[in-house]
Amino acid sequence: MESERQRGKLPGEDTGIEIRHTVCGMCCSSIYCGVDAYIQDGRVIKVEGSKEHFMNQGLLCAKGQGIRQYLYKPTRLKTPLRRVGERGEGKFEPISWEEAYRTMAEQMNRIKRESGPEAVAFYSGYEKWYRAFFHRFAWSFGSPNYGSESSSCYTAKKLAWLVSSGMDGLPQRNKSRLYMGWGFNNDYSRYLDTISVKKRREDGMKVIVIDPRVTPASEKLADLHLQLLPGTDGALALGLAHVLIKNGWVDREYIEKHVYGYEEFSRYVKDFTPEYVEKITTVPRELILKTARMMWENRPVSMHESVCVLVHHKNGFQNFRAVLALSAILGCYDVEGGNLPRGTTYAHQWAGFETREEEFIHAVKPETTKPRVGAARFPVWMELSDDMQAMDLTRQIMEEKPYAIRGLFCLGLNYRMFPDNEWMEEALKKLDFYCDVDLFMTDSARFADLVLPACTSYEREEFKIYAGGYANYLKPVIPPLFESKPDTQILKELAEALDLKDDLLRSGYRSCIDWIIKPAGLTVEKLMETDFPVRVPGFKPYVPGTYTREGYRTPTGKFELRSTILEKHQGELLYEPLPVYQSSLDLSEEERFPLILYTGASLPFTLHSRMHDMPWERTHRPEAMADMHPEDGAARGIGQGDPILLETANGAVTVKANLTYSVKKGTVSFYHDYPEADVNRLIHRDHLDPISGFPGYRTVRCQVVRRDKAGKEFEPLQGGGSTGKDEC
Amino acid sequence: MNVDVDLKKCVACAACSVACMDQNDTDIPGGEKPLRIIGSLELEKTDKSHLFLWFSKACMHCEHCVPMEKCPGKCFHREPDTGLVILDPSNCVGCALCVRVCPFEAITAFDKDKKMHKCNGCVERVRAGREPACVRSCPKGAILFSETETLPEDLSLKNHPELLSLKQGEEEEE
Repeated sequence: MESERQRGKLPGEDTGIEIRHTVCGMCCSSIYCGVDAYIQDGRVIKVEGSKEHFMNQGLLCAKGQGIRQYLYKPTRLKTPLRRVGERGEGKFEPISWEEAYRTMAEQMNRIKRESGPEAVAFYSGYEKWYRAFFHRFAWSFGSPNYGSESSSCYTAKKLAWLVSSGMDGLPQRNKSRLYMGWGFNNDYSRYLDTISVKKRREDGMKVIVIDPRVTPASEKLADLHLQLLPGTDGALALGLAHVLIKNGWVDREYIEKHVYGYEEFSRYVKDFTPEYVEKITTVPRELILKTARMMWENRPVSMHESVCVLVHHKNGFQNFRAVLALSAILGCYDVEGGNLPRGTTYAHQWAGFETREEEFIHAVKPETTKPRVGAARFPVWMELSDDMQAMDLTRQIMEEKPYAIRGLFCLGLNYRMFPDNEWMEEALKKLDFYCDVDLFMTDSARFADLVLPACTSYEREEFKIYAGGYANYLKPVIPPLFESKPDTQILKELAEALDLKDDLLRSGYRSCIDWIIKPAGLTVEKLMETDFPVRVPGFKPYVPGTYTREGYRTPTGKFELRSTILEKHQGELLYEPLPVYQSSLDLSEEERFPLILYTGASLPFTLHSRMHDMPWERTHRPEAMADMHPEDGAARGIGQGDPILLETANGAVTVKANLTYSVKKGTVSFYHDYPEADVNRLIHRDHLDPISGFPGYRTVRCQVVRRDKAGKEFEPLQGGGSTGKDEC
Repeated sequence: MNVDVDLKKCVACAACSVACMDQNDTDIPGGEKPLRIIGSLELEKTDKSHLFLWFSKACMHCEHCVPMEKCPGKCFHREPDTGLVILDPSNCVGCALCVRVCPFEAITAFDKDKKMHKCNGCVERVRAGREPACVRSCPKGAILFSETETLPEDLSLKNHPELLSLKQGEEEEE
């Protein structure tokens, strides 16, 4: 009989419930919250935020709190599987790991023999923790075609920084007097950010939120809310620059010493008067003037840097550069309380100390190869990134130009995140060989020849870092479920099966981590002595201004408002060296598609498709709904909850209407990753930023009609099945 | 026990509702329902602009509990040591009278047993000196659970049950 204490899940000898420490891996890799996992009979029966963890101090968001549905989801893969039906039919038979590895080695080495190593592409879904190992694996195999969902997340922001200042950046909010929250709605994503912003606000920091929607942040944290039209951030930034420059509210000394292209930039922004910018953005001119004044009077100003909000537009790369330009002309770059340069310590994150992660990858870089996927279309990407631009992968598989991609090895592919992903479906069917590693039987795994079961972060060891010089080595809180394995162990064992000449990779995860973290004076053994993050020995925080004194790592050594890198690649691609503004909308007829569809906003209880189909999380918003303004609804005879057809030039989905004043008139906000209403299919395959290759998920012309009024010619797209693990 | 929700602080982030389901092993596919839900409100102001509010909602463990008074099966009782209102559905006949009279719509029928259920304030945890799961997880400190403190009237959901009848659509929407 269950005791009262057992019913309350209270830890203790009497209940047989024990607390083990881990961290949450459900969202962004810069915010791993400490977790107390309540374990009974080898199962996780409850989770809470760890009070002992400096990061979250006991808190946990809806995603982390819902982890048990993820761990114990019925579609968890139990064994390696081999396809027995047609591609995509979802018919598999279980096989042993040995047989899986043997098949993998035969197929991948066959393609390498017949067509060269470049004919195999390597792709990672959302997860970051194994990226260095996977990249090294691809390069050891000899293929330059390693890439990831970072082809539509994070990288564009980083590249925009690299062409501007030579280094990636991040805001030093804890010293700012004004925080510019471009797309800042962090109660629903990276929730700890809003807690610190609120604290800083109580100390007097001003906050401006720039967002097309009304959100808890715009209502509760902002001194000003600039509710612009989606994708017009660049115009707004140029308009602010216009007012700042016109009033002499700029840091002349910094500009003279450290900025390249200022004169030309000032000439360009002359046209961006508050009146003109109001027309583009709908932000009232008075508010633009007020914002500019607030910026000048409240320096240092720092800019919130979301990894994808500003760059998911056709003009996204330039829009982001326009925002960074504000930092430069105000003299707020590389100063205390402004945006600071950042490196990469490990797994895309910066913790203020160096490791050998990059050397770990570069040590095995193939000397000569064919050009990477995306080389012809995205030369700036090729110059500044080591990855392929995966948004060109579908095209290359289908067209075989400049050469054929015949094999695909993925860790957690979600093909549904690609625009026009029916095309990707065709590409997956066309491949000679495709292996997917995942936690679940996902829509993407269903197309694979071979599906291998990975385990979650609760079931593995893992090295983690935190800003401020912290490192942590996690121990599993439960053993891997079924026959699943950590991705890195799969890579090590595959390296052996494929006989890759790579002793370090084949030596296993722990010894590779030891090699990588050696310069920081760390060892796995030492880190394993504690469950919680420890400060790296001799850690010294970055002193703002150091990078400016050294000279920026741009071709001119200055902060480039006129980019010499873009100029170099200008050629036929017509890249503009200045951060110019252009409409991000597609070219379909405005008359037929008068509304602006933007996707990709965050629901607080799911990260992309990761938790979308989990029963607890789904209770909060059970149906796929498009958020639209009540007046737009009324004009179309649409009431709350009515079935509607959401249509673009590329296709249509049937969803329900959610009428809300939180969105702007003329716009429709739709959350991505509903498997039954795949909005990415409404976006054209070439609706990409020509510089970064990022899809313009957030600015697409659309129309909405009541379902019963739509003509019979509409056959709405319907997806099926589940989505899973590691997607963006 | 004063249980309340601070409307100035709550952002409907769902940490509380999921923590509740995690604590209670809420079996959604098996016909159980969430005991705590989140929602949002858009109230028209005199100048025609809107006031946006977010809330989290479950049993408020009111000092004067109407469902307790009206329930024909005497399924409700107040815990003497914690003051929490407990619904024990063993004798519930499914008349749903309690659902209709609760001003906070905090009682819900489960499909699996056709009986009424509600938040029991994590009474086992509270007796052991811990806070309820929702309070423990709330990143905003928006859920009040205190023997002594109360919220100012204008911030308090408990003082404004009428707001809940103004909401648009289903309460699960955020």
